[in-house]
Amino acid sequence: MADEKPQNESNESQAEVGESVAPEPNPLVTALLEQFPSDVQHEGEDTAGLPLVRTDVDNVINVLTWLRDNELTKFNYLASLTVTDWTERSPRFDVIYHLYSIAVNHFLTLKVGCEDGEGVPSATDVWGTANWHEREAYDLYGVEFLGHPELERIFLPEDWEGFPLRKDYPLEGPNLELLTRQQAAFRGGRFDRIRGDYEMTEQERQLSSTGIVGSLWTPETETPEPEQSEKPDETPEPEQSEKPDETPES
Amino acid sequence: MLKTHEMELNMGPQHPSTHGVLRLILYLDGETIVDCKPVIGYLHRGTEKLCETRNYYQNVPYTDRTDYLAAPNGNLGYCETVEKLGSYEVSERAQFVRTAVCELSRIASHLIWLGTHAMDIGAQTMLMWTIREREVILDFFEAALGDRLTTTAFRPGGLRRDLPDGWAKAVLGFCATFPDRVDEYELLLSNNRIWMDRTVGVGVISAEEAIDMALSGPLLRGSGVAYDIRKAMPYAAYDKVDFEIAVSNDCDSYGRYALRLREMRESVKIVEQCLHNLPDGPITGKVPKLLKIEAGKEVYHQIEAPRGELGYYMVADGSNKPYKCKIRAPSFVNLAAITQMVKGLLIADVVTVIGSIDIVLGDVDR
Repeated sequence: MADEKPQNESNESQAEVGESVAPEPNPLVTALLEQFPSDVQHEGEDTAGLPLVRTDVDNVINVLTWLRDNELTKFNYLASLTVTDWTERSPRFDVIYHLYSIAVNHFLTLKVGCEDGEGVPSATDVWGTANWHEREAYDLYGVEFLGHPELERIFLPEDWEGFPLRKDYPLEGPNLELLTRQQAAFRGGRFDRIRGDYEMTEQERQLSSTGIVGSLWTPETETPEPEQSEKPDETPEPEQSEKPDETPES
Repeated sequence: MLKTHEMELNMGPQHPSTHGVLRLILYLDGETIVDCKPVIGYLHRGTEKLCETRNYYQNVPYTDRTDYLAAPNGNLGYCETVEKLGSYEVSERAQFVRTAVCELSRIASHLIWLGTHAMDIGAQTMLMWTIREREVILDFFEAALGDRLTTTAFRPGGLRRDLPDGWAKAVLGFCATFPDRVDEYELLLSNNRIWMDRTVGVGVISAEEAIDMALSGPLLRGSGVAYDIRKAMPYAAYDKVDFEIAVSNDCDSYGRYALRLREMRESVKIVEQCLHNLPDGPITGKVPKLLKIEAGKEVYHQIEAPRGELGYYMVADGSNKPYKCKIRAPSFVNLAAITQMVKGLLIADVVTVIGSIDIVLGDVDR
């Protein structure tokens, strides 16, 4: 395998030249574009200098099978399969195949765009490993893989609502009531989920935009919100009863 | 006439030999396994979602908690991916320290594997022996990294702090004696009749199947495929050290056992070379305090963790947090092959196969 190493290195050296200089077309991409002139687009390189190509839902299985079986490419190893959610873009999702060839030692990333609910043909017949990867992608992103032998949730319970890795899925889960400031600081510091009656200070607003909130938490000294104290006589009581609830968390 | 019908047997998630919360639904004909369905997700913590909400530095501790038996490897994979994504410079010294620490963690991880795997099969002494050496390595981690298991060892750009005085010398002392300890393990197991009866020919997977299922690490090399990312796509300082890829053509649990022992010996060599050639200089490259990586950049980076290919796929969106951070966990992918490996075996052999795959449920479920 050591013989094939130079090819990989040459890819990396292309990246070092810089993106402004158009690199030599990768022989892999050239061959792929010759085989599928209208169905495959070259999307440039990733930051490691390895090629990115894109195809569409109708051709993905043809392209993957060709990449696996062709003598030049020999992509026998599906390293990883995942999805990215580009909420505002159309098509919304990219299904991403990271292909590696143990025989030739080269790497290729193939992307397929797909709309929500559209479905992508399953690659389980091309590589057995795609089975669990696709189940994971379905579980967390809700992208359906057509022709998959057992497309069920893999991590989450069967009756789970929603798809957690979608960008519109809140971090703490759906249908969660809004939090007090302390709770928000504890649960990952999502200040956009704080109760509306609390006004953020300028410092907190800045911190929440940078994501640094871990050090922000301090025991609350303010009086509780007016709606909590329904009986004016017992105002100190809710304050006391609240504190023991929160101390174990800290 | 004796009539048999298929029986469904539930194994786990609370079962001492499933190494965590793995549940297997076994379909049996008598005691022979006809089919096996793994059920996972009991330890799913949504690490990938969490990574999208914290900045690049804050995510490092999450990577400890995926494969918690080899936390430095998780840290290394993550930090190198960030460095590749933002084209950040890494200091030379950090590369060598990282390599040495990761190889020590590979040894520690293999030791725990060996002890628990042997204990599952019935050789209880083994765990006492391997824990003894692992304890020394964890002490080294505590001295250099501040923690034993959840090390949070590295930072994008280099290290958090330099090695303490005398650390390299102490580790080299350990490296000098460790091969003898491996000899001891071999003495206890390699020609042991019971050990061989329980592992030879159990959990067989051919090279073609292994590649089709994208197995990696000792599981793939145990089937005769010499694919080691440390050689194929060198990272850290692996291109500056001399070592061999351990390969076995046995395709069974015994072959993988022998292979992991050889890997430990190779790891010792790597650690020794790294510490002998440790360059002076800064422990971290010039990396900004607040990492902001421009939109449109993406990279997939893989390293050879003790359990196989640990890949990170990261996409940047111009902010200080990753837009996406996918963790390609070796245990998750390797575990998918268990169905093929246990078909036709007996129930007792399932325990061998689980141990031989060497899963960490934190890594499977993330």
